[in-house]
Amino acid sequence: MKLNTSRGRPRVVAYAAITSLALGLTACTSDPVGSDGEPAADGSLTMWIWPGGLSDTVVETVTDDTPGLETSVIGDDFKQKLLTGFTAGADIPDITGVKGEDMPFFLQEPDLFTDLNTLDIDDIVEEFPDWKLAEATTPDGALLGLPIDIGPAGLFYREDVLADAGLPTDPAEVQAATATYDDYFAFGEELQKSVPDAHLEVSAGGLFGKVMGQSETKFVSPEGEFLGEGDEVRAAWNLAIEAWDRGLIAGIEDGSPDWASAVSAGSLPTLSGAAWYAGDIKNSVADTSGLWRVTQMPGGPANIGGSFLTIPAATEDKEAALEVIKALLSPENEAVMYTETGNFPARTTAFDEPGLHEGDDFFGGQDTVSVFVEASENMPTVYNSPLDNQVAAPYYTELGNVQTGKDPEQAWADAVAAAKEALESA
Amino acid sequence: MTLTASTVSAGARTSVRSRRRRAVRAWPAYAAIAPFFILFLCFGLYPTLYSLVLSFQKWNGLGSPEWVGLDNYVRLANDDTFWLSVRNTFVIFALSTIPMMIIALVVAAMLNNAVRYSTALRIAYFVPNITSVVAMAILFGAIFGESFGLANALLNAVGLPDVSWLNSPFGIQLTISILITYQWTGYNAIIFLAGMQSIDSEVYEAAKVDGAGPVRSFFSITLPLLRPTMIFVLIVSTITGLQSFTEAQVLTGGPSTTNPNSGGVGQGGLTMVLYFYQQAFSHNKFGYGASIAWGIFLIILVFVIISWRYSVKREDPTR
Repeated sequence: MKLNTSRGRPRVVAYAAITSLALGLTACTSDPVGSDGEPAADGSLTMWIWPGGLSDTVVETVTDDTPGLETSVIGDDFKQKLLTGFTAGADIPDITGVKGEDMPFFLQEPDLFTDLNTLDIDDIVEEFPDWKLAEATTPDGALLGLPIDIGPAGLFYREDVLADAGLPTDPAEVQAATATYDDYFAFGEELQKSVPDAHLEVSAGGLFGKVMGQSETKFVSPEGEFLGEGDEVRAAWNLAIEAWDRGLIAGIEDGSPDWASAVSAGSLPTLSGAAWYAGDIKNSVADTSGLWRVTQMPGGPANIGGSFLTIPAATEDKEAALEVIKALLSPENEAVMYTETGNFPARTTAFDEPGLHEGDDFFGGQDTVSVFVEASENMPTVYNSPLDNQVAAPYYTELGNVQTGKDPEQAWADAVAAAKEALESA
Repeated sequence: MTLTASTVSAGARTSVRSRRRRAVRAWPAYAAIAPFFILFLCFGLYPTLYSLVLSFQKWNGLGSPEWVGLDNYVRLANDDTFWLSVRNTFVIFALSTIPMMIIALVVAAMLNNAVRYSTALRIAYFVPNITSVVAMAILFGAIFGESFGLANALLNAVGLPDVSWLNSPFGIQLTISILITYQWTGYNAIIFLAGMQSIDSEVYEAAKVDGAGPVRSFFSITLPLLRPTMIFVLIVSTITGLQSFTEAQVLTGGPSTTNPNSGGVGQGGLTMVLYFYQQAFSHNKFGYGASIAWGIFLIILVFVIISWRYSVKREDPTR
């Protein structure tokens, strides 16, 4: 009898134990089902993208035409999650976005991706700018991704503030008056005569970053040599210091509440940034709609950001994946993406789409697209090292220190020393 | 293995048969605690041990790791930025923990004596602790903005000059400390309150008979009898305070991709954990990042041992 009554309970517990064990074991092993090795017989394709990376409308349209396409929108640290997938060798998507700033990192391991040159891309590859394709090309010539968007930079400015200061307001005239950084700084001092609390630039580091963006070489050469003491870096540093000394820099953080307040109040009447920066401005200071204009950057065009679509090497049906990418990046869809997300089209044929040159009310009806198209056409081809970010970091840190009173020469020496150390230890 | 080991220790001179019976009878208990330990093995112990291995390697997260021996630790010991992050962390820890303990005690004492709405008040004090840190940090970023922030507007209103909260290293540390204090004071007040309510009311009555006022009984009865609770709060605050990360990351982060997770102006907000995060996840130095994590572990261990030793020593004479 005793044995009988106690029998019911252990059975329940046994089930619980088995379930928990199974749970634990599946958590331990990386589940290989549905990843590489399993032919996608049902024609299903998976795609990873971060929020805002592609326009929702475009993804919906393409999904309607491609049954089996499943898109996962992955937030937070996208690169890290992709990296985890590659390291585990499991659950790798068939198509994935790669952010422009992460591309140099992934170029180190080209075997993880499909060389798109081995697929049929002849019909479209010509329609993307060479300088952007170069960002996704390995030294051996393998093309790992097709660009979704580019980040040609321009100089945004408040027409009303410049008019009050008696300065030129027409985009072509402003461009002429701010062609070089010397002109630009003189323009700023002229502006300050009538608007004393106005600043040209947000932070010394921000200006340094944009000048470096205009430079064809960065902090590390393709051979891995240290360029942080070179002429290009020193020239960018000097410009940032000069602007700071002449009182043309606000010394606040881009995108911070202080920044939004300053932009709204008109004390930051000029802002340079990529095409997508217009979205930041629109979101932060919607009440200044119609007062803005945009023209070319002082000192020449720069590219800031812009992402890619890639096909990981593990993808079974590479042709089908490429078809999806081609559909996503069609001229019509690229135009839709621009109007919906503000990501500037990488595909040059998209510029001819109807409606793109109609003018933007926020910019007083100006045809802003033409400004960025012109910048894109004159863009230099640059080499971005996977180590650029960590080698560049000390310069930004030290420029921040200059803003709080550090001696610029000491800051330069410290930045160079720290950058060298960062490169050596990388 | 654990089964037999525990049964041996439990029963003395048991026959093989009864030992087996004991094991059979005990296994549901082990099954019941198994989920935690299995998950802990996978997500706790394994990553911890793996990070120890990683700290002797050089790895960018994608290629094959390279064994570098003690290189990472030698570099860590000579890394000025790491020691700066240690200093920042301790400044933030001191600036937040000391006011937090004092305010939490005062709040707990007031809650303990609250006659009306005591539940509502407790909830109100606890809410900051369950609010998203990221949301609070964004809000604090707006309040402590230099030119247009609420904090400076208030200072100006009473005739004080602007403070560059987020544009100077010490200002950043102060802002992070205020945020941490705001977040944890209510939580600790509730713990103090629980400690206070477990003090026997007879002690207070005896003190009252002896003519002690509320202030005297707070310092002579409440504080001494609250010692164990205070030590607990201090140790927990030490561990969480030395690991502060989110507050600093969000307050000094900005949208910048050029120099992410650098701790803001003068790297004032670069805490130890933020430095680890920057090296591993922004700069892809996973090996070095792992060695920073172990450095942090050692520092925290030292401090926990100090506070533990201190509390044990002081308690000995009363035993």
